[in-house]
Parts: sequence; structure tokens; C-alpha cells
Amino acid sequence: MIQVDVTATVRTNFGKGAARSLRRAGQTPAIIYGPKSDTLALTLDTKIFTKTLLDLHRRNAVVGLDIKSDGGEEKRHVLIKEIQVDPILDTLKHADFYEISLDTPSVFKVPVKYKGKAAGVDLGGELITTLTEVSIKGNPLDIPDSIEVDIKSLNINDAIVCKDLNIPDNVTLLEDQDQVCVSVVVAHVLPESDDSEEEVE
Amino acid sequence: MLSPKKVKHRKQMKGRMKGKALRGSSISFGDYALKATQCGKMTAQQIEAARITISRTVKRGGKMWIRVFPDKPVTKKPAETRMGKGKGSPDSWVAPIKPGRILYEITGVEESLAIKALTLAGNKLPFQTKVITKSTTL
Repeated sequence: MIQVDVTATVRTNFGKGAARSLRRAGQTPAIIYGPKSDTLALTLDTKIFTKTLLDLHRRNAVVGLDIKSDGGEEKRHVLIKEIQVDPILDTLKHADFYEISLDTPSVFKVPVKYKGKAAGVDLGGELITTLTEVSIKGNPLDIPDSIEVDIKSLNINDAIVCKDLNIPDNVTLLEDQDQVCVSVVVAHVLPESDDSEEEVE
Repeated sequence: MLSPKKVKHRKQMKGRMKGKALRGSSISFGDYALKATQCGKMTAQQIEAARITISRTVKRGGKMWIRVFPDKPVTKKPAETRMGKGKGSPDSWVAPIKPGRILYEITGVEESLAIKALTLAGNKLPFQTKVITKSTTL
């Protein structure tokens, strides 16, 4: 999984007035919470965090959050739980971080990417993609960014099921082993209209 | 032109457009999109005119998605009619648009051509719009 580092500062001002003045000053209000820690309000630099989010592009990522406070600096590992964006200006309004432990297995949705053109499609078959993402359980850093599947060898009436996926050994696939991911089936052809009947009508 | 196949009630109240579009405000299918930055009513004719502009500018190739549907009937009284005697008869269909709403999405064409097509389509509409790209939007 991708790892990025972000710097944040502890926030002491709360409410919409304080949040708006923060946004005007180029900062974004954020919050961090988790199962084993107390909730903490933060501020982030909007420009830098927006650039980081655009680089991630909605992929799974572990964020190393350097939190600066009066007591010093501490590092926490978090996932981006939610981001709020202004619908008109498309600017960042708020971010939610969920604290995780790098040693505790968690469940993640990982996208499945199909590579190549199936041989059966050239022969007139139709490619049916059933799964575009799978659930995988494992330590956050062991989770792959995506799972690539080569479908060039798929002929008509062939299918790739979940147990055929190339999953790393240290993670567990939570899908049904016989669940079809992608298949090539005989293409449905609409029956040709009978010209003779039309002429009679 | 786009219109509903079947409706429960032929006539609706006028309604008000307030607030921002919280749903349908992010790019879901394509790489480039036209986004409304003001509120307004988009008629079925305007949706079709903008669609034709995009498809003629892009010429061939690419794929387009229309993210709005005119499901609200607008009534009109006949010309030279005295006021009263009830609400007029259904005249056209409109889509109420709130600021932030994605109207069209396209993909499979060059960035410059996509921006040109969407800008020309935005000129056909009765409110201000902007063109956004997936790679630079959160």
C-alpha cells in the first residue's frame, strides 16, 4: 500500500466561525479518531494536503501524520476516512482520519485490474466483468495497491474465479473462492427481422 | 428530447432552488465535466442543444454522459387568455439545477478538444458553468 507523510497541528478553536477563518487563512480543519485513541482536532495546510490527495487519487494509502502540539511532535498512522469538498469551488473543506495500528490486520477494498484483450472476444465472444474490487484482510502495509489479472488467454466460455487471483501469501481474500471475476460468453445476437413478413404487412 | 415516460401527477408546483448540489457534484464516469456554478432550470431543449454541441465538436470518438434529466413539468396558459380558470396545461419539461451539479461528462478525447466542446455547450445554458477535469479535482 502507498505510504505518504503529512504534517498537522493540533487545533484549539472549534465551531463554524473558527473553521471558516482557518479556511480563509489557507488551512483545513481535520479530525483524527480511532478505536484506541481519543479524538483530536487538527489543522492542515490546504495546498499541500490537496496535492497529496490528488497524487493518491482515491487509492488505499497509509498516511503518516506528524502532529505538532505544545508538548512536542508525535507520529500516528492513519487512513483517510472521509474528505469533504465544496461542491462549487471543488476546494477541501474538512478531512477525517482513522487511526490504525500497522500490526493489526484490517479489511481493505482493493481494485482488480484486467490486462490485455481476451482471445474469446476476437472470436466473437462478449467479456463480462463481474468483480472490479475485492475485500482483502491483512496488515495495512502488506495490502497490494491493486491486483492485476492477465485475461489474454480467456476463450469463449472460460472464466477467472477468485481462487485464480494472484494474492500475496501474507493476506487473506475474503471473497467466495468460486466467485467469477471475469468471463467470456457467447455474444447474444438479435434475430434478424424477416423482410418477407414486413412486405406482407 | 428527454422526457419522462410516465408520471404520477401531470402538474407540479413551481418550487424553489436553494442550497448547493450535494449529490451529483463529482465526476463519476468521464475525465472532463461541465459543472453548474449557479442555479437555474435547464429545459429539455437546452439539454439537447448542449448535447448536440458536444457531439458535433468532438465529431467522432469519445463517450459522453448526460447527468441531468428533465423530470419536472412546466405549465403554460394559452396566449391572449384571461387570468384565472385554473392552472395552465403542461408545456415543457425542465431539470432544476443547483450550483455544483455535474451536467455532462466526456472521455476518450484530447483535453483541449474536451474543454472546447464543454465550454461551447455551457454557452447554450441559462446559468454560469465551468469545465473541470478529473485529474485536478478531489
